[in-house]
Amino acid sequence: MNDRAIPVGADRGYYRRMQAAVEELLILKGVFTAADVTRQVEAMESRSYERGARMVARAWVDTAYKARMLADGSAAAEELGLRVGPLRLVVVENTPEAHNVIVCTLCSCYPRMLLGIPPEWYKSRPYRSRVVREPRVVLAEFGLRLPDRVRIRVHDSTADMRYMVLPMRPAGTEGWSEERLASLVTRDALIGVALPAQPSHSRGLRPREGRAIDSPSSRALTRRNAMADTIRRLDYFVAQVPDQPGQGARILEALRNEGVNLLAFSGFPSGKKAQIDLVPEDPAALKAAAKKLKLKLGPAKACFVVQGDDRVGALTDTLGRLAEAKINVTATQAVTAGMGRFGAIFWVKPRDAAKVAKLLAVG
Amino acid sequence: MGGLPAGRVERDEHEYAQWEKRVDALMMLLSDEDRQLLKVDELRRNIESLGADAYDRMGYYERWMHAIVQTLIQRGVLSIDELGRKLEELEGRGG
Amino acid sequence: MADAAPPRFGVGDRVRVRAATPPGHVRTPYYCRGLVGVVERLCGAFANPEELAYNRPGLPAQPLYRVRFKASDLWPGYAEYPEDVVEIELYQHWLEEAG
Repeated sequence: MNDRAIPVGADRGYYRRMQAAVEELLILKGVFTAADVTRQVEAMESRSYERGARMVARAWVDTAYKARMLADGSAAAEELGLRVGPLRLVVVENTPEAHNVIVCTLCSCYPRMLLGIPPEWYKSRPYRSRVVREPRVVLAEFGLRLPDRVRIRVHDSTADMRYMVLPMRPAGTEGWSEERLASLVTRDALIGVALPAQPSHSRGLRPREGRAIDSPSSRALTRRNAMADTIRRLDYFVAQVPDQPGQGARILEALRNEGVNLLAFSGFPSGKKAQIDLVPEDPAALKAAAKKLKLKLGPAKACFVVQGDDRVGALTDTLGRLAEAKINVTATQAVTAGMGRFGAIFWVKPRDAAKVAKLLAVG
Repeated sequence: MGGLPAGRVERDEHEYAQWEKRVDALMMLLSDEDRQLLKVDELRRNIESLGADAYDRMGYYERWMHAIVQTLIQRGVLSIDELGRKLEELEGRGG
Repeated sequence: MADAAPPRFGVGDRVRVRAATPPGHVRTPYYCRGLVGVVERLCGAFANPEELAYNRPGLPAQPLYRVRFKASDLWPGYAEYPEDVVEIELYQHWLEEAG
């Protein structure tokens, strides 16, 4: 038994040559033809997460289909004309109480006959080892944080079943067509490491995952899909501090000790002093902490926070729409956050805040 | 390997090379109903036999190609000699 | 399926995973061996992959169950989210009744 996996003197191309050798030998023996192989490659390329997205969209609009899908996922796929062959598909439903995540700790089982080839990270050691043991930490690395009251169900595809998540339908999609609903469903949402995109100004264009290339066709290599960003109108509070070293650190440390979570923070010189803008997750908590710390805060004012998948030109759409509406943006800051994400904050004059909120369809 | 410590999940992705897609295709064709020349379980066993070092050193499709070859040898579909000669021929062609 | 072992467990049954360590290809993850879970559903009967891995028929087919484990039972120190679960497919020959 050969227990050296890579023979002495082998190079990186060894297995590529082995693939060519085995293919040629089997063609010579009549096991299959070259055309069979090409057809197989094309068939796998034609399968993508979009097929699962269609099933999800149908389940969102048709409760009877949803029930059939939860009872027998493969039959439900075939109902929509999606050929899945011998796949045994189990669809697991996200609810307000439970969030599902799929993994194969033993190898990389995935519903390939429906969704195509899984992403590399799904097959990787870190994902397979960690998501079953510390799902919340792994989900947080993907940018997904679930409320404490939601329990997580991790599904380990150890045997013959394959899994797909049925995410919850995003709010604000009443009356949407199935096609438009399907465009919100990402591959990562079907695995459970992300939620579907939320409706925004993106006009239902298909969301994209990080820097992923979802469709294997060469067109996809140059195509970049628009992302459904989230934009929120938030309260911010201004404090004045001396323009000296340590002022920012002092305020942030004090707020941390009070358990106040900030969604954004900005500091800059203002006259002879310095101004700090604080955007809290919970304005009441910030005000209570400020009172305790004897930190004087100005009244609540509006700012807008944008979050989305990082890509070239990420902010141009948002700022372009403001420009079209002739809104003068007072200030903007944007920064990539790593992990394929970016955040931005922008301010407008108070009299423009309501108009901007309406224009960008934010709360 | 569920539950063992491991590092960050790297999320970069790349388009697969043609040969990698053809390994995938090979696996599908050989395991299909008409041919049944290998079972996925045999492939998995051969991959598990690699040992941790080789497993980590090899790429995903390298492991599958290794497993396909081992299984076809074990099944008697291909002989070691004909594989060796075909590889030699391909190297001669500059493949 | 004609050559299949009859199911011994039903939905809701508490089952223990045997703490065996056979050689070869095994689809029962280490992290659940010796532990108790609850049957969530019966998935059907399938040929035994441990035998299929050696090009043997793997018959009689074994009933396959989805078994739900509390994460806090699987992982020491997981107390923070007591409701979290891990659901695993396990073949009948790996399961025995639990109290």
